[in-house]
Amino acid sequence: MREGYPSISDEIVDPIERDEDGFIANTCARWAGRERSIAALVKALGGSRDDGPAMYAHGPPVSGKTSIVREVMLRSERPHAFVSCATEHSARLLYEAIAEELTPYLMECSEFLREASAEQVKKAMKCDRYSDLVEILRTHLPASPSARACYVVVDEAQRMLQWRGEPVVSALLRLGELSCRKVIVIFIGEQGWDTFCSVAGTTPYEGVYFPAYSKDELRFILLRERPMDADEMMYNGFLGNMLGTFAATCRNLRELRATLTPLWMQYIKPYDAAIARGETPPEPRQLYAALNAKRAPAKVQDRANEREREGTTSRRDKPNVHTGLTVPLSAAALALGRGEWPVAQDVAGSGAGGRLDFEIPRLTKFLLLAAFLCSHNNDDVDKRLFGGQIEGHVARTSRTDRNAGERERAAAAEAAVDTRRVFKLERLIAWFHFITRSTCDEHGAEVADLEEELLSADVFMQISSMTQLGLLSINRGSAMEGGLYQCNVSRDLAEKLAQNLGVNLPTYLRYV
Amino acid sequence: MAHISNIHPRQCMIRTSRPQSASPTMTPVDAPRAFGADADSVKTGVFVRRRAEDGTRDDDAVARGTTRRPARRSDAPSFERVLKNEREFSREGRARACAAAWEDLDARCQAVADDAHGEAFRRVEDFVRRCGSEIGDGTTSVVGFDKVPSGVVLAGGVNSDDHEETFAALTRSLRRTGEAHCALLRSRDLKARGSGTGGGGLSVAFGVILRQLDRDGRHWGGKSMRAVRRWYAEASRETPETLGDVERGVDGGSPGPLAIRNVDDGNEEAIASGVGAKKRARGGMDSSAASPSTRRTRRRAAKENVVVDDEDDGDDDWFPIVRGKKCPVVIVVEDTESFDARVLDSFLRSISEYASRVPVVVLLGLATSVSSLQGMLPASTAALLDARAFQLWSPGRMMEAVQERVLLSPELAPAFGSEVLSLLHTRFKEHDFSLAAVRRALHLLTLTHFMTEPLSAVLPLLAKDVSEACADGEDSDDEYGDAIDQFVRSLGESELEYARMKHGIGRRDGEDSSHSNVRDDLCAALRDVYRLRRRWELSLRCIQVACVATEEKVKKIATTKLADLLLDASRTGYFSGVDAGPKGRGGPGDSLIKLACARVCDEFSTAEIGNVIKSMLKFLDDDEVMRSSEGSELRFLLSRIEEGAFNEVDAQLREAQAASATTVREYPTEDPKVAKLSEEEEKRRAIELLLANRKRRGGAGGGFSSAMTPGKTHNLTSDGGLVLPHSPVRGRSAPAPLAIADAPESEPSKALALVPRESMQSTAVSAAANEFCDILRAIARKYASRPPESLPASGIFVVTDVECVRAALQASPRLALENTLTDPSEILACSCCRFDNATARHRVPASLPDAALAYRLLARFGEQAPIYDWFQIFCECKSFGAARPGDINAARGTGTFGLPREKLWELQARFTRAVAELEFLGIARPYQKGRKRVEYMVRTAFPLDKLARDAHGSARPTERPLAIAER
Repeated sequence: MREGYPSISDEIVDPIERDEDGFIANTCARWAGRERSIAALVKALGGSRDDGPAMYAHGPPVSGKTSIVREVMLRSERPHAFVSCATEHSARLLYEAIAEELTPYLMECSEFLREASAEQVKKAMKCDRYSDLVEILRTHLPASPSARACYVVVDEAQRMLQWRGEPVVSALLRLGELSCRKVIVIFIGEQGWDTFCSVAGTTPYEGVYFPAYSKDELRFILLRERPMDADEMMYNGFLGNMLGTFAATCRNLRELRATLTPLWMQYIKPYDAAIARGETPPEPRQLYAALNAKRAPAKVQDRANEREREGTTSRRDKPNVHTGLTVPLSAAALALGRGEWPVAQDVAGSGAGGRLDFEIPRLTKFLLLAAFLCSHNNDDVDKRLFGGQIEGHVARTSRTDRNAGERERAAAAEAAVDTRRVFKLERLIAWFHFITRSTCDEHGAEVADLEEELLSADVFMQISSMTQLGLLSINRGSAMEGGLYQCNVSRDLAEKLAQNLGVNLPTYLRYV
Repeated sequence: MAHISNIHPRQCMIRTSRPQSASPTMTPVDAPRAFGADADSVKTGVFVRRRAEDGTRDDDAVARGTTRRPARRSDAPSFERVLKNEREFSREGRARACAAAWEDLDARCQAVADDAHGEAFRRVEDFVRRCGSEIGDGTTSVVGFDKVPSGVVLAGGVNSDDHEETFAALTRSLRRTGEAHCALLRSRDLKARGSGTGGGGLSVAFGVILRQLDRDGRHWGGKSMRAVRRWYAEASRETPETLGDVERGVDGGSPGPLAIRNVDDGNEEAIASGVGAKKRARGGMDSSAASPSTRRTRRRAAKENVVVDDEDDGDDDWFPIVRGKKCPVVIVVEDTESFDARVLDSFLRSISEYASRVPVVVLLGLATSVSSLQGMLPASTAALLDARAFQLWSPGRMMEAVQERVLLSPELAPAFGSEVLSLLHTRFKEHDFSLAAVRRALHLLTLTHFMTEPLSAVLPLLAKDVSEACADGEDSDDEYGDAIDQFVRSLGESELEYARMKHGIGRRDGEDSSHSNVRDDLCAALRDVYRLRRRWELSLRCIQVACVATEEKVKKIATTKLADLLLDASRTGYFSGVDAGPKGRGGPGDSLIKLACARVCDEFSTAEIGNVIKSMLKFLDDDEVMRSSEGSELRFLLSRIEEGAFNEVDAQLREAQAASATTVREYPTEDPKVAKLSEEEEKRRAIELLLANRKRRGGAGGGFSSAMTPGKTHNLTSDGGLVLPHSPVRGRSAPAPLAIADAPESEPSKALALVPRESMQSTAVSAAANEFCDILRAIARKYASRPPESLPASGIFVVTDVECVRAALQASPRLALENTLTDPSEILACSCCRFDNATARHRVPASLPDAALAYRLLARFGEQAPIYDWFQIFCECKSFGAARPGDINAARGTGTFGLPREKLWELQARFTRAVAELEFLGIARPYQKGRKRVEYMVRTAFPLDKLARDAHGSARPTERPLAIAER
């Protein structure tokens, strides 16, 4: 049984009904910058015995929707079921979860459930379909007009739009009506209700909006969450510096927390060292300057990397504190998490000299390059490039139109930023052969066994591997029946591969 | 990289040990050819072969509650006779030796893999342990901060079969710690269950996880994180069990981490009749309260928990079941990139929702890089991960370790020849980057060698360390020699004759090669194999140490690797020319040694040379002969360096060098110190300056470094002055020291004026450097120039035949199909169907089989052929020989295409069958264009006829242009 619900037989005093303003003030004290949203939510909830239509709390990610709704429901001690469509990823699981969450309250309300054995309770609460849920609610919830309302909170509601099959949104909106009980559904989602209108066919009674945190709100929240041993003034100065850099590109509290925690450790190091030496501690400005100070790499390998990096990036020194640190799962963020400092910013073409982050077979590199060219070049390019190799091919005569060249250049420029084309396996293999042989000829490599290798089963297995890894994808059809492939290789990776293999990519990349 | 095959030794043996065309008296030379010829044209490497689960049970095993162990890999295969009179025990000896050799080789490769990932695995375990301790502290249960501790395990290479082994090993390793619940999730688990994308995939994923976590089967029906939470609550509530609790019939161990099997229901009765099952039923697990499906899942769980009879290698699969304590749930995602992005997103979201209630640690295995994961996940989901990165060894590094620690080892018998090593390396680099594929190739090579080499039974004797002390106190060398003597004495006449003919044993000038001579020579050759191989290995290690030291000194990024040196030096003659004269054309390894010596002379101080010597002595001390010869010389040199015997000379040289470098435009003084320098030191100084100048100008300087050796100095000098006869005339960029040589002695100031102002280093070419270089050259000349392949009777213990790998692992089935259909004359052994018959190049012979005829006609059409036209030409070709033109004219009007109806029906049936065969082979597929119902047959892959012609270099005519031109 869920703890916290007052007994049904007791005289229940609802905290909101008792002191609404105090309730709002207390909640706002915990959630900074959410005053308007909290007040709107509490007012929309109304009295504990009031019946009403569904509600919808919406706003951008990490704006406190879920946490605030959950806390309001818990502190108000109103019976509720809290389910998330991220976890309950199908209608059946959702109904089952609602029934499971409401079980403690229903056992309080229903005499039958209180006296039944565990097996009987399990059987009575079995909920596979919507009708089961309606029946459970109708059977076990009190029907008296003075009964308390029961709330069903559905988090990540926008995911329901992707579910195929029964219309879950509209069904949940009619839950109270069909069960003839006071059941209020609260949806929580990121988009506005407009996205649900076509599916639900109705508009919720109340919409509560949770805006994104402003810079000051972020600073206030982060300052309150500072480490236990951190001085408030110093941490405030640290936040001022950091938010000045990060707030323009990142207002996600999770990302900021993840970045600021290890950064603070680096930031405070000179301060602690000075204190330990008995010297005058440096000022925040000096600490920030120390954080951005460059350190000379120690190893020979690092020096070499540094030299290579200098060749590809601008000569101007970039600060160590950069926006790339807040990008989740980026190489910089991971390195910072490991305690490395300074962390270089991820720049395009970081694999200087065609060095890749991972190892792939040589023929696979050619395959990926071929796929990239297939997806960026028009079919006409094939005829021009391969025409000389094909017997009986007659080259097209020269153009008579004077503006044709310009038009072609414009089309190429347009195609360079345009979508990628799908291609057949035959075309991929033809390009693969063409590039591989051309490169081997250019480099004077031995081509004795090359032809047989190019036709070996390994090549086709490597295509399969690339498809598994997501570097290629089958757009239409299946691989067995001549499906169309799509290349997911980025331009950066293609350029690295070309550099690695010694292929002059612009020679082949004609677009049209 | 792709799943090539898991060829079981028995499969190989069955396939390869019965060459049908090989006669019983087949010579060993013919045997591999027969093997290659009889291999299936659709190569075995194409298909994924996995060992089926050994579902057979004997009654005793069931009664004991155990399953029968499948046959082990090391079981000895049975070999065919390769010599005419080869005896039975000889064949058995080969088979046993083969099994032992492969077991040893496999264990060594596995040891490398274990060592490679050991450190990363330990870090992952520490990470999981830390997460577990935080759970105990309650520090992770922060409301609104539902971050999922996750580790991004970067494998750094694209190969799925290695990934499978690596992540299975990681899962095993985590389970064995007993501090975490662990489950392995693979993308194919989701795909195999027909889920695809959306919610279904997530349900299956959680189902798979629960089936591994829940050993009792109570929660196997769970499809969401809520079910995992229920299971976790139960698992952490239960009291700890003693392992091997007989009463519940559940042992504290599991048969394996990947036991996600759907055991067939047909065996349930047998299981139910077992003792353990009855006890479980009495314990209430099969009570009527549970539904039939629940009872079934519980039975399955109990069946999987039946302990495998553990005698030898069962410890590998054992792990404790954690109950009654709160420890993290680790979910290892093997191939993250292969997952559907939406499923992965929902999966991580689900875990995050329950992060405060179920402590889950997600380990995401990535083959490529973190950026691919970034591309898959939305930023909001990625922000939920509290990620740490763990880097495993890249495949290339693993391969290097295998080359250095396994393939170079003298304890490995058979050794692998240069061609084999090159092929393995090339295949690895270009095709799959898969260590598993390398191991398969090694297995195949080993098996083939033992199958075809009649004397290979001796190999286990050659893999022993001669110097290793015996337990019984006897001289190990004698025992080693006795064992080889005994083996040679036991050889029959046919084997001795084979040794004489094949390996050239016993051939002496002017003497008839009797069997006794063969025996003596074979014995002598085999006795020295281990020693020579070990010296070769140690010499390579010494050379590599010297090369790396010199390369690091000149700040080269890419240093010489032992794996590369192994590939190069295994060629006969690589180091052969080290002792060749200045005009001598040595092997390719000469330049390496010369360069290293030049750098030592140019860049190294005496103390640094001492450090290199210390590193080399570690290797040289391993062999008695090397220790007593080059080792003692190096040790003597080191002692003199440490005593400071070279200090005075070096100081003088440095002083003189500094003086000459700074006294530019000054006349030489009659400094008594300089005057005391010997004539030889003057020459050396001049050469050093020359080299420094060369190097400053961009020349390598290595070509002159050989002149530094004492023996060569006389060749370079004449008339007491410094003459460099081999230096090229370079015009303006001619080396400055030439001016020194050409300058008259009366004008020393001019010579000094050309001395470079800036000296390279404050080091000097000392006698220590010269001596060191001499010893290094001696090591290269005496030991490194003798790879295993160059030793006598190397055919016995060196694998040189790579054709089996080429034939079995480099499959090109489509090319083979198209070639065969285009020109079936080789298979049919007839001349009428030959494709390259110049007289009939445009004629399609009627004698061709229907499928081949249809294919050749289809090739004429190009990418696609209208069915009607195709059939018409088919009929014309087939009826060309059957009916004369006159007959056709006579029969015109009687049927379509002027053929009699019966003939037409027959041809129609044959054509339909031929087309169906082509479709079945995957060469063509039907296609209907538009509503006009014009049916075409389309070639499913690009036409290979042109490429096939290029590949074989034959002058086959192009009947139609490439399809790509027609589009």
